[in-house]
Amino acid sequence: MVLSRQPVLSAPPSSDRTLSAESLAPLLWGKDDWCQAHFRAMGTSCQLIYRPPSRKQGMAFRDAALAWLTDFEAKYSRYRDTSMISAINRAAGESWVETDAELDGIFALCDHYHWSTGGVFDPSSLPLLRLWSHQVEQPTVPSDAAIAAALKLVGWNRVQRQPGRVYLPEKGMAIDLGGIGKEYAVDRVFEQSKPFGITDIMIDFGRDVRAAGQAPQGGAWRVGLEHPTDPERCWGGVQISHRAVTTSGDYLRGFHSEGRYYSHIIDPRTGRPIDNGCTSVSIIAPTCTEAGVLSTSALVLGREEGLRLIERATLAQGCLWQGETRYDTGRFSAYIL
Amino acid sequence: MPLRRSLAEEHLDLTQGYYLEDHHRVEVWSSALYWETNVMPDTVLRFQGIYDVVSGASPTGAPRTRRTREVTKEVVVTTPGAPVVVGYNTVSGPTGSGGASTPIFAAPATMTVLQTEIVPYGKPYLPLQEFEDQRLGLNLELEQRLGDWLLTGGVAYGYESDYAALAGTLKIGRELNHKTTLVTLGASLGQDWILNPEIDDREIKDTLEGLLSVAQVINTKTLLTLSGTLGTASGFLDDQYKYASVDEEIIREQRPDTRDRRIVHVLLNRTFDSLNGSLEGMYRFYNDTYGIDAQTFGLTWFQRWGKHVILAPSIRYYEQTAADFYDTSFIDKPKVFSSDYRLAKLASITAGMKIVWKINDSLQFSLAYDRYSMWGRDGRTDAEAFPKANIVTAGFKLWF
Repeated sequence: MVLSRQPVLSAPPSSDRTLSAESLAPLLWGKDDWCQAHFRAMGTSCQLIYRPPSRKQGMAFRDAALAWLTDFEAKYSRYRDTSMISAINRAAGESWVETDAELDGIFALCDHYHWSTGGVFDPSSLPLLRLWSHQVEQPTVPSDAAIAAALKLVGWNRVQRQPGRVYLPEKGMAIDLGGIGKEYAVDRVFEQSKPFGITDIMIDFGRDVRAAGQAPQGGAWRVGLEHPTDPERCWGGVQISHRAVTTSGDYLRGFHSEGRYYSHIIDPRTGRPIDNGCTSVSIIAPTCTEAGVLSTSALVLGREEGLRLIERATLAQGCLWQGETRYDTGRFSAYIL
Repeated sequence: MPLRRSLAEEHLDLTQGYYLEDHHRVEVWSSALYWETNVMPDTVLRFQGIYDVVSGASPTGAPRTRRTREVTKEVVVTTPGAPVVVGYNTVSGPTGSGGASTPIFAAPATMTVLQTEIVPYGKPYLPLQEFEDQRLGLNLELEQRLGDWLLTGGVAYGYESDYAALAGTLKIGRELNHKTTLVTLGASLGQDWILNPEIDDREIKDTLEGLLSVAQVINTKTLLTLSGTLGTASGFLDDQYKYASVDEEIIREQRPDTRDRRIVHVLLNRTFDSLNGSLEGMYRFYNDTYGIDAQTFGLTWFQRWGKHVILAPSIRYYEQTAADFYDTSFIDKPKVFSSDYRLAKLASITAGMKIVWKINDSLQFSLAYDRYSMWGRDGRTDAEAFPKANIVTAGFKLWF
């Protein structure tokens, strides 16, 4: 799987670090001391909705979350020349690069998900992503040779790691945390809310959602699920608490060439955009990281294999759209509103 | 010393009184005329007419409040996240999507609006009911002596803009012990018509009273009068201008529709020749089915000063317990309730001085000043409710 959902680790620019959290993400207070913060981070729109024990705690959590996110982007965004990821990619085929404990932890997660998805989740797929980029002015279909060459540079198992350092053994290899970074950030910010005594919270970073406790209207959090053929509306919604929801789809980005649509989701096994008829996968899982990896991986695998992948994850449920038909895992309907 | 002269002293009293409460709360101009004459041998006619002009304000019974006024100002309003029944807290979709969001927790919007508020200002004040009225009272009495018997019949009429009363009185007296004892038995029956603003019509109050009185000459210097009264009133007994706070609402009071009362009155007159004066002492006990027990003690000293002048300092103390249904506020609306301060546990003192100048055998002038002071004794009723007043009365008496 090419982690190409969005250049997620790209913003805000470093100059924003001089701005106060209040100016970046003003807290808006609602009824019953609920508060909400909207802000841009990781190149996407983010929101926090939560009910802190006090306004002071509410502001302190917001400040801590923003500080952590700013630091996270600075270190791990491939769009930042000064980031650790950029340093690793520049040193490909040349030298080891020091990593910190957090990146080692993220790489350990990548190990797990690379294995559990049968290699469909692959953070080293950046060469393929660049090849198929839809963000260039005139996207083109690469040649078979170019695809084959890029495929040779992909392979998470080839990435050499030791505690505190990493090495990409061939020049041109590159890694990107775009397929896990935003979801990982949701989980980390969620964990950070606990010391502030926050039990009712929803974190939404670019529509990757994790929620706990009760929603402002009482009861579980209600999360709408976008309709893949009519993104202006939801086909339905799920109610969750202490769960995460992510949705992957190929209908928003990609490009057309010679009458054919090329998705931005790249299958790292073939080096080509997915073409299995699946348009969207939504996953409910205990963590956002797991949900995000599963939703994208299932989309790559297609209906049968994808649903099997979700079913194998004990605590996850999901649904997959193929054409106009929705396929649910066994207990997904229990979450549907 | 006979208790009744065989012939009345034919005379006419004209008095003008002025009552003014502190802070000019209530002002009363009171004019009175009293005429007593023998219409026939052994037949005495007494006529009394009173005309009052009353104005001012009286506590309504509602608790203290503050005046309010409308204030319009620009305020920044932050609308809280408005919950909607149908909608989602957020929407899950591929990164970069965003069209389908229908958030329940809508972002608060901040805007500046003109807002009119009713705000209290000033110090809390006691709500008062303003009034202005004229009162007319007429009383006609005819007394017929038949040997040792005295028969008296009377009729009384009162009128105000919102009140009318008519009563008839019948008394029979018997002189005993060489006219040193007078036993009187009397009864009166009355009906009042009270305008009730709630129904915009008049309500009726019926009254019936019985009186037994014994006046006894103890000796040439001492006269003792004992009397007892039993009375009952039924019908509309509310004060239509009194209110109470019930379950935090201000509503019109509701009193029981019957009130039975018992009164014992003792009056003692004693002359002190050596001091060239006399003492009048009185005691009155009152009890009614409202639960009010009241006592009045009064002392007046009449001091002769020369041949024509009498100085009469006086003091009177009154105290009562509260009515059973009195309180300053109520919860769980009771059947009967009132916050009329006059039904509270209270006391009053009236102290004054009267000077009487008998100019000649046909003309007498009098001038009196009294200071009246009432106060509450329950620790709850607003102290400001209880009036304090100055009373000045001037009068002429003419004998024919």
